[in-house]
Amino acid sequence: MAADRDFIELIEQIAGWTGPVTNSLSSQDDETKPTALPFTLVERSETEWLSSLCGTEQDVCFCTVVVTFVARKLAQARRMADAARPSLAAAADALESEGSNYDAGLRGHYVQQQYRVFDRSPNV
Amino acid sequence: MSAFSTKGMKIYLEKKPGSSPAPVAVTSVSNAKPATVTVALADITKFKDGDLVTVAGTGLTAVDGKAFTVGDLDDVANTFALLGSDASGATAPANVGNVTNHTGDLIEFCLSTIAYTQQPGQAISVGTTCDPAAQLAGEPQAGSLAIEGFEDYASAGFVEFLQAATDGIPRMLYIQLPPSAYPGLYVIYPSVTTSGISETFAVGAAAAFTGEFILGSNPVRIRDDA
Repeated sequence: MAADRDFIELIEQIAGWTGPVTNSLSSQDDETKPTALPFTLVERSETEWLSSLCGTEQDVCFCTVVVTFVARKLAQARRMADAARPSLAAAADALESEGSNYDAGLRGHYVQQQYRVFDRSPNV
Repeated sequence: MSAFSTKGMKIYLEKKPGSSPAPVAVTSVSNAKPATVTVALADITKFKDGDLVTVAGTGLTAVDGKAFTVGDLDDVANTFALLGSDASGATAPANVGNVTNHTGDLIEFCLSTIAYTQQPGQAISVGTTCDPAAQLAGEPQAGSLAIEGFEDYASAGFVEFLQAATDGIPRMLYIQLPPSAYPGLYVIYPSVTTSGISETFAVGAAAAFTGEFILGSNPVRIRDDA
């Protein structure tokens, strides 16, 4: 399974996890209502393919998976990030960075982790 | 402008010990450029255009012990040309000897880069008191090949390279340049010996290697229509 789907499964398996985990943002059904918090967004961003003179190896790649934990309070977003980090870092090749900020559009705080992952089935 | 990209380029490393079929006796080898080999009707099917062959025992110094690419197969019945050969200096054709097809022992070797370097010959000083600056032109070395690639234990070419780094046995390296370069363009490195391998394992990166081949003889560049 592709790396982003694997990450979603790993997060959903954490005991007591709250809020939806998705790999894309849905359109807002009602513009008068803010997005329900908390939620977790798993995005697969950059992909780096391995190429040799024989061609590009299409069954494997390195990709960057960005996981964003969004909650009303910064402390809650941090707790979510702390809870997910051990299993995600174990599944990834490396946890490259982690940072936090406030998103005015979502009216919530977020913690964002960036992982580098060797993906064996990138087309799924 | 006829520059070309590397897309479609194929690199093959010879497997050792090989399992090449027995040498095929020749009926004749012409003293021409390129030399044309005639074999028995039953043997011509053992060859096809682009095959890598070596020749022995013909008495033609221009071809014995050397590697060539097969071309013009069956243009004349039961014959093929040794592309890249020039036996026109011989006084007569040969009617003995044999040809060995090594194509079955060639393993595709996937590399990310391959770089050939040949240093010019170093002048040899033969200075005397009469002529302190006297020099003889040095013989250029055959050169070396620097290679880079990814570690892939599922790849027979990589495993053979590891074996080559261990046993030190000379192998042939055969390169088919892409059709975009020129239809039927080959480079044969008749004798390469691995002189070293360096492996790199880094976090978040594919395991990779670099290596070097030392050439035992000059590369042979073959153009199908030459």
